[in-house]
Amino acid sequence: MTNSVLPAEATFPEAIEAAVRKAAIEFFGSYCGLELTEQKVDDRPDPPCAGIMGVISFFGDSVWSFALVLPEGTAVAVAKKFAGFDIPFDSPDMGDLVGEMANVLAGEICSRLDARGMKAQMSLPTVARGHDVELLPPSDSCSERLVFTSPTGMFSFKLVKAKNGLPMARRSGQ
Amino acid sequence: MLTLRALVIDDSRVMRSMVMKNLQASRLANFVFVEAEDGADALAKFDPAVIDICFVDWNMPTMTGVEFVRKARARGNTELVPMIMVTSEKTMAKIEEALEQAGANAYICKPFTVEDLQGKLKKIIDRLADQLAAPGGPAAGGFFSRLFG
Repeated sequence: MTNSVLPAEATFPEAIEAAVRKAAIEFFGSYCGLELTEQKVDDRPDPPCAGIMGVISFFGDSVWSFALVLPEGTAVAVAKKFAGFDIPFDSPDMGDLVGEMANVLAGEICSRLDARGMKAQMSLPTVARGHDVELLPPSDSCSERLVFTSPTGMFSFKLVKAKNGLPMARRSGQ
Repeated sequence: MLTLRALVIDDSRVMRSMVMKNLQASRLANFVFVEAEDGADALAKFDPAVIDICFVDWNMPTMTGVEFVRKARARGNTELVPMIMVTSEKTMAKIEEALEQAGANAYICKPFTVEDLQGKLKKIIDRLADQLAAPGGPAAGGFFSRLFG
């Protein structure tokens, strides 16, 4: 595996964006029984609400991060479908589960990138919960947003690729 | 039903619960669980004379699951204890590293279903039951108490 950081790009890499999109559809479809519909992203901010976010960074041929952002209602419904039991939004288990969902999605993304010859190693997940929770990218980065609706509500992914330097993340085993 | 003492290693408490719930639902054995939250914790709790089978996540803080498998195997006397990776890592390179280099016996990708567990574990648990039942086997003296739980 190489550790080189690819040259600065003006837009988020399409191959990675496609891998995230396909991994999301596969994960939520196969393991949560949710059919996703991708929404057109516009510049309007989302209505303010409580939410939870699982963040994972990737190292390897490209260095980037994703945040899975779930509003409270969606998080509670998706957690029940994934875990098979109720998990209150404010409980430590909700953070634990969203981290695990981000981790499973990251594994699926790595596998899809690997099939295209792109090596990627994932970090451990970091989870944040709050009101209007948002991943704020560095100024010298490119980002993309994917928004999905499902029968349990909407959720989104924020994808960020730093043009210089590594995103801060814990790697496993450290 | 055979009783097996299983070490379940995952830094996610919810995922440990899901692994344990699905293992019991598989009805492959009556599992008695010991939990560990990373590889280092698992290494401290792993005693091949007590633990019959391990279920090991890969990505964990402090010590990864694959490091745990390597270190546990390096201690020796663990060849009869199956190490089952249960992880979201699913590239061929990772699977080969776990199975061919570290000494894991099976690889289950997250998320998984009860049927996935049954398919991957049936032969391993049948073999384990034979080993435990064999005269002079690792737990010959306690086999009938395990068998009838």
